[in-house]
Amino acid sequence: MSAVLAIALKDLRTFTRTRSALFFTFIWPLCVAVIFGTLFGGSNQPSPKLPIAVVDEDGSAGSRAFAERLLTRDSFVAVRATRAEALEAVRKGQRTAAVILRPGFGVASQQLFAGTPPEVQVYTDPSRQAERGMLEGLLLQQGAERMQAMFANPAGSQQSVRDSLSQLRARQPGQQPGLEAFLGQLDTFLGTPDARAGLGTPGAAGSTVAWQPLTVTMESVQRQRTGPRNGYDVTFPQAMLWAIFGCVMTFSTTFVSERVRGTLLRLQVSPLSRSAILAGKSLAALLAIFLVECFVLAVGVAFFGVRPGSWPLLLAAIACASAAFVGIILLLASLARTEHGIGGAGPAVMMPMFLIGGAMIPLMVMPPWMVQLSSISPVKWAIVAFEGAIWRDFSVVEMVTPCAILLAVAAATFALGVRRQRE
Amino acid sequence: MLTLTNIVKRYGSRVAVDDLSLAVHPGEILGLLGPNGAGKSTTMHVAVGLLRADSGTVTIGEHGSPTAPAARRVLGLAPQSLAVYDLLTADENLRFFGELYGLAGAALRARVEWALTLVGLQDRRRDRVQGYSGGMKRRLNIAAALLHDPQLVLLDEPTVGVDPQSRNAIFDSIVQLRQAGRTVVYSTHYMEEAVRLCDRVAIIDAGKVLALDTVDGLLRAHGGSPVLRARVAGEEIAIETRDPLTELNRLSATAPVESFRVDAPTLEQVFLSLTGRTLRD
Repeated sequence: MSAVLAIALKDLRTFTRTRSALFFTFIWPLCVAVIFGTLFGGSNQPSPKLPIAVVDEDGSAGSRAFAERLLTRDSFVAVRATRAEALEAVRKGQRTAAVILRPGFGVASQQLFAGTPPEVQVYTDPSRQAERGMLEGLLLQQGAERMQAMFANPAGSQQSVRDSLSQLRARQPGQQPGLEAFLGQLDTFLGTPDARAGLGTPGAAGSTVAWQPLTVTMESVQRQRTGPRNGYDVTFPQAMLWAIFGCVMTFSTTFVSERVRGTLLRLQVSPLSRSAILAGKSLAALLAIFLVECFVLAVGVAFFGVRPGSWPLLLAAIACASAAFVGIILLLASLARTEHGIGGAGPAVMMPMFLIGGAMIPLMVMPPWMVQLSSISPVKWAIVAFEGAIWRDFSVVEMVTPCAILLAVAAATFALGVRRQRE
Repeated sequence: MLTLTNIVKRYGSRVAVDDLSLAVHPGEILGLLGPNGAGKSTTMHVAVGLLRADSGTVTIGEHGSPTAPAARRVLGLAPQSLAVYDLLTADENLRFFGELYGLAGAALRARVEWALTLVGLQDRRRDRVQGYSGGMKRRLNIAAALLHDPQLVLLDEPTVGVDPQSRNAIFDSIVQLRQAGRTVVYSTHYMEEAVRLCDRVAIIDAGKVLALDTVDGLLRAHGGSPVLRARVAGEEIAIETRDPLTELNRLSATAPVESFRVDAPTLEQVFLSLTGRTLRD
């Protein structure tokens, strides 16, 4: 086992010292992904303006004012809608969230520091965690602004304070003496020239009691995806395939180089079996392919907003694609006798596979006849598997087909390659 | 240590090794001398189990077949091609080859040190091989074959394309191997190397062993007589004779001898007498 690892590490070491291999496996695929991703539809970084639909189920003056404020905020691109329209828009991915002001919102808004706070329901796609957090923060911020407005208009707010005080005394007489005293003093304060001059400090009031200006309830709406979120969702799976292409060319060449330069003789004279030698070299190729796929994906996730729908399925897709192309490396290496031979045979075999498989022209824009033809290429199944996990929202069952085909390709090419290598 | 019996190896209709038999004794350096294409490399590859003979048997000491793992542990091959990795340093190359034989830790470090010292590459151990001269690569190629301390070492034309300095370093390494009691099979088409290094020499042509003996034995049996070359009364004379001194006395009695020299027979003449061709034909 240690000898197998030694061969694998030796191959990986020589791989990292080959500049052209590094360029074609790391740099070139990223160039493809970024350039074509930008051409296909640009950035998918979370927009600074969240597209939301606002539903006013209360219809009171308070809820109307709150909704109006949402519609005019710089943070949102907001439209009014009914509950059904808003949820449908979220489901179809047209809006990030549906913000619903629940019945009783207006009445609750009038109660300061007591009673049930006004309730807002927010429906979003559960995969959009970043946007959910941002939205919740903005809504609470707007709720707090209502308090600020109270101090900006002491005369208007004084009546709200008196209403809250009288409701508190009527519902819970003597239960919250501290709050009663505070509201009494606030009532007194709002009637003073200081309050009218705008000298109040709203934050201090809110922080002394366990009361919130707004209750935000987050709900989930499963988004029905009809396509990629943006261009990078399409080009990064393609780039992962181009990275694999670089690995295929590099490692099939190292196989042939071992034979041509005589180092294979030395390996064969050692106590290692041929199977162990092949295992070591295959392990190196497998690790390299796996790592470059992960690298390209990581760049997509970190800098271009690629958001895989399912990490476990993506991992499975990457593993199956890696296995398939290791088999192809073995087979290719067995076809060529010289390094020049692999330089010619490699692209001759791989380029048509990539052309019809969707690594150049995205599968989603291919004419139907080409999509059918593409099924003969393992590249297509690798891209389908990657896209399935990234934006097609494949279920486990849907992922079985591309992964099974990739594993079948792996088994067939590996067996054929090994047989030819032994001849 | 190594016995080849009636080995036949064909490539299609071409017979590369033709009913070849020879036995290599423990501790000796046996030379395989023959022109390019004589079947020396094929014989070596059959001997180490890289090629399967169409017929005949190969036995490595008490280990039997060369493909047996135990036999492989006592074999070391320096192929004619430079079987080292250009993108690795000498140190990394040797460590890697050592790991293939199960060496690790201090034992591996010690063997790498020994091998680098043997071939004189300690100073360049951390340089990538791609920057080495041809001779340095050849020396590293030999070091890689010796790393696991094999009992039987096969060196396939180890001095091809090598500068004189590296050639001398290689010869010194081989002499040290003999002193350490290792058995060496050394293929070459340079008769000078066979004369300088080998205890016995097998003359090979067209896949056959034409003669196998010590150098002196070969010269006696197939080299013919020494040639007395003299300039007598302005005339150049060449006389093949087993007794040059008597012949020289006879000549000087007839006329003054202005100059003379005796050309001893060479392996070149041995090859010529056995095949009708020179080694470089």
